[in-house]
Amino acid sequence: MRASTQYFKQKSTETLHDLKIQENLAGLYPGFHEARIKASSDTEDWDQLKERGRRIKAHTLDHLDYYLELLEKNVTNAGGVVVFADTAKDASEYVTKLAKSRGVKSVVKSKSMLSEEMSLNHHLEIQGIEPIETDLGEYIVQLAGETPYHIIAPAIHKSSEEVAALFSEKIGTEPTLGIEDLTEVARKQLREKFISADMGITGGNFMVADTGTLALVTNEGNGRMCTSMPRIHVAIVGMEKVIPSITDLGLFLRLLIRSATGQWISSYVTTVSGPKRSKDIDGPEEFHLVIVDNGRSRILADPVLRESLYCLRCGACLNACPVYRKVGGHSYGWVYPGPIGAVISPMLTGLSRGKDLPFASTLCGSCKEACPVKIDIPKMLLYLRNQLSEGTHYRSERTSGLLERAISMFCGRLLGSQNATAKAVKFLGKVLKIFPKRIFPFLQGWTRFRDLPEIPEQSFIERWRDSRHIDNVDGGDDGNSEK
Amino acid sequence: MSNCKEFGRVSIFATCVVNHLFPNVAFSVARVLERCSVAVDVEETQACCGQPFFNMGYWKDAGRLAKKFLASYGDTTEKIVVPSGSCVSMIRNHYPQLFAEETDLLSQSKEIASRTFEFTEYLELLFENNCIPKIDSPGEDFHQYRVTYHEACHLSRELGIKSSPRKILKSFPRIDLVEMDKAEVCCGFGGTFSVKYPEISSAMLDDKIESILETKASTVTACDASCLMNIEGGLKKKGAQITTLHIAEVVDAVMSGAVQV
Amino acid sequence: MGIVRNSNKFIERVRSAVAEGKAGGDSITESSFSESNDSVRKRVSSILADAELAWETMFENLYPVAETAGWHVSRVSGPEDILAYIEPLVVKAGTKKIVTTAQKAVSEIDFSHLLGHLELSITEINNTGNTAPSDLRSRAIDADIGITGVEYAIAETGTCVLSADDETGRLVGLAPPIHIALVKRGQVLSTLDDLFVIRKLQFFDENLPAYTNLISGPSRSADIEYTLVTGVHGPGDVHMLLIG
Repeated sequence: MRASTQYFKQKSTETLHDLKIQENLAGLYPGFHEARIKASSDTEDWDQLKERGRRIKAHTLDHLDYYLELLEKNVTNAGGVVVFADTAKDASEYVTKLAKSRGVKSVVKSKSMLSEEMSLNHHLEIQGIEPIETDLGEYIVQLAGETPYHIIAPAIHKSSEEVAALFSEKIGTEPTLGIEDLTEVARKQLREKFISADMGITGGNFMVADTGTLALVTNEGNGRMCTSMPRIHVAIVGMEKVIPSITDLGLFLRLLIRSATGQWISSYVTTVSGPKRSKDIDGPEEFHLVIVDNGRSRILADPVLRESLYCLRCGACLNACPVYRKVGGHSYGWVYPGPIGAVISPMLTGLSRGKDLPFASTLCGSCKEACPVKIDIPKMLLYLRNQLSEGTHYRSERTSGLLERAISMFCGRLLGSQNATAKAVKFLGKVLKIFPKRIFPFLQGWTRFRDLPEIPEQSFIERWRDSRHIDNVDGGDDGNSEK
Repeated sequence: MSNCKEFGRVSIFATCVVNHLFPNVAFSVARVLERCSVAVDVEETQACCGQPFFNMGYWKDAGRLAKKFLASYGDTTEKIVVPSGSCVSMIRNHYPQLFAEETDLLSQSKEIASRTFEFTEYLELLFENNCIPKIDSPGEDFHQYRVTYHEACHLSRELGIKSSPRKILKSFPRIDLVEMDKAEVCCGFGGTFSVKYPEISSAMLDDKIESILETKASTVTACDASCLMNIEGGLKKKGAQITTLHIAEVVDAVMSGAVQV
Repeated sequence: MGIVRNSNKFIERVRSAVAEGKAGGDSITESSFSESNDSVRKRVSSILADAELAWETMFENLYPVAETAGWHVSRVSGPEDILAYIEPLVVKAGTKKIVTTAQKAVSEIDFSHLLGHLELSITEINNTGNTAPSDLRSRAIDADIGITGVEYAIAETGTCVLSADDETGRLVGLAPPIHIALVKRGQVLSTLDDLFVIRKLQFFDENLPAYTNLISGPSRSADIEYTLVTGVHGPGDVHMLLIG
């Protein structure tokens, strides 16, 4: 997907004024966020599980080359084909070449955020191959010609009326269908596609190194369809999705699923360990596992940012983020929105282009609290802010100009002196009394929506110095607050 | 209550927002502590802890201010009481990052951090040691203050302080504490965020104000003056009839109307 | 496709990134990655022994969890009970076509009773070669009910574990809108972790299934306005019969 992270301000403002979307976004708090909290509080030792998950992820990344090689060996031994793709472009190239060489006309796709990174659908289409999204939410956004709005609920920004109108326009159904009927329409439409597709493309939630197994977490059944009906199964997975052992899978399923939807477990967990065995009655003859880097190694090489690769893609941080809940997925301008997106979207598509994203946060910490593997997103946002302002690791992508740095230095020195600051504040107070507030563009951001505080005559320190004592216990005239 | 004097003296670090914009808050802190038999000092060289610069990514400038903070408080052993969760978090959680490469400063900052307390955190210590004077039961002149509490982000999620403020408020019978919906959700201030992304900030603030007004409280309080500055600014602009007070001011007001037992 | 399959370059790049960004925290005890073959075998024996001995407790534990997960659960004593359960289902749904796997739990049932008076076609999906694979496939796709056994069931999550093999086709428990899963005594495990230890052993013994589904209820989605709907692409009506 082409990154448009530089339009964050514009897009977020548009979204804020879209009352319909605001109504739909308001459902995130009760719909997903509180559901996760309930599921995790119903789980014993939730904190310990998170800690374990984090440590296993940290360990895996510390030995990622080892585990990837082991994974490759095991999948290959089982008759699968493993392909390491340096870039999204390489991955697309492989998949489309494979499809062409096997005479593939249509492809059914189970949800894959990575395939969005690759713009895979576009590449298939220009080769004359029809890609069909089968996850209900993805199907909806595909029909609408849009990109996914949320990591696990791609069409959450659309009301059922909008979906009904969309289906009516694109499929010719009644424009007033309810949610159950709409689902039935999707089921019928997609069933035909499953049956006739030549290739199924899925993502992967986990790649297990010690048994060469791919795990898919789904609810709808399209993941099962994509891996059962067509004769070829291609899985495209980010290289960081590997875990050491099949015996770790239970832990990660618990962490992922409770955090994503608040369920104990999803309707389906599909584990694929190669193509069909010769004795199996049915199943894909070929299994290709495409493991993609696409900039992840750059993140891996940064000791502070590395932990963003622990991400299980559960979406919990999105649901917990008060900013995401207002500005929605499209504002972030690339595949991954929300708090995790604010870190990895700039890192994968250009730090200077995405410079707004690390700053568009109040650092409230809800994301870190929600994360099932305790990723310290605020720490990484601060680090990126530092890199953009005066850092040395990504010098060529620094965006803060000399003026901003000079202002910071000036204010820094000013605030280092109690007296100087007090004088400056008083001066500001006098100026504000004389000049209308709208002259100050910087303050406009404040005054459009809020009253300014009153500037007191003296600072606390000055009054303290003057009075040298505080009044006695039974009240006094020294600044008693009124109720 | 004589054992409370063993708490010694404390030094008030007012913070920029309180010092220059809401000095009454610091006076309330001083009065409350004195009523608890804790003697109070004010270090007159105090200045900014460096947090706004740290948050903007200017860690060199933040470091300079942090060093000044260490210099101001390095040569005493007094406990430092701060009417702000975000400044305490800066000192406790982020100073180590600024001083990572400088061992002496790092150990000094750790030492100072170990005796730096957010206001309600310190009050809870006093509470546990029975150093907070009991306020008389409601009598003829009894006023019930209907108060709602906003959870400041750094205070609750970076310092883990969620129950102390509520405990303190609930310990006064004159206060009727009403929980607001989504108390833990950010008010939208976030320092420069409020002026860099004003529309998003105000959208978040509107939600917070809605939660506050739903409680029909007469007062909204919190432990961070910067949150309150944001909330009060929004409430005033909407002409809402509700008072905004720092928790120190609330406790001060309740105590000042009290007859000591 | 030569460029893309150059795994050496890829792995080298990963190796040097690993070294460059090392944050510490090397060894972990949390993963049983390096657990020995013997230790795993011991654990599995104990798990399977428990499953056999405590089958009744396992059924009792599984029942309510499976119901909460969205299964219609029923205790049955044998093939006759099973037929008695299926008959009203068939009648109510107007079923014409049933497909089954060739697993023992299913093949033990004599469907001729049902076949007689209810006008049903019941096809066993197998690889004996009697019917062309494409034909079998269409029958599974067109069927109204799919009946399978299970490899295991899991009490913790209300799950049926279905693995593809020479007796079990992938489509029987997927394509028809109704799925009936038959669970026998000794097949119920306590937790997900128990299943995955068994998998580790199967891998050691080179008989790891190529394809498994953990099925924990009907097919569902909440993609439109957070509203739960069932029967999206998989079966919307799922039944778990506990035999014993």
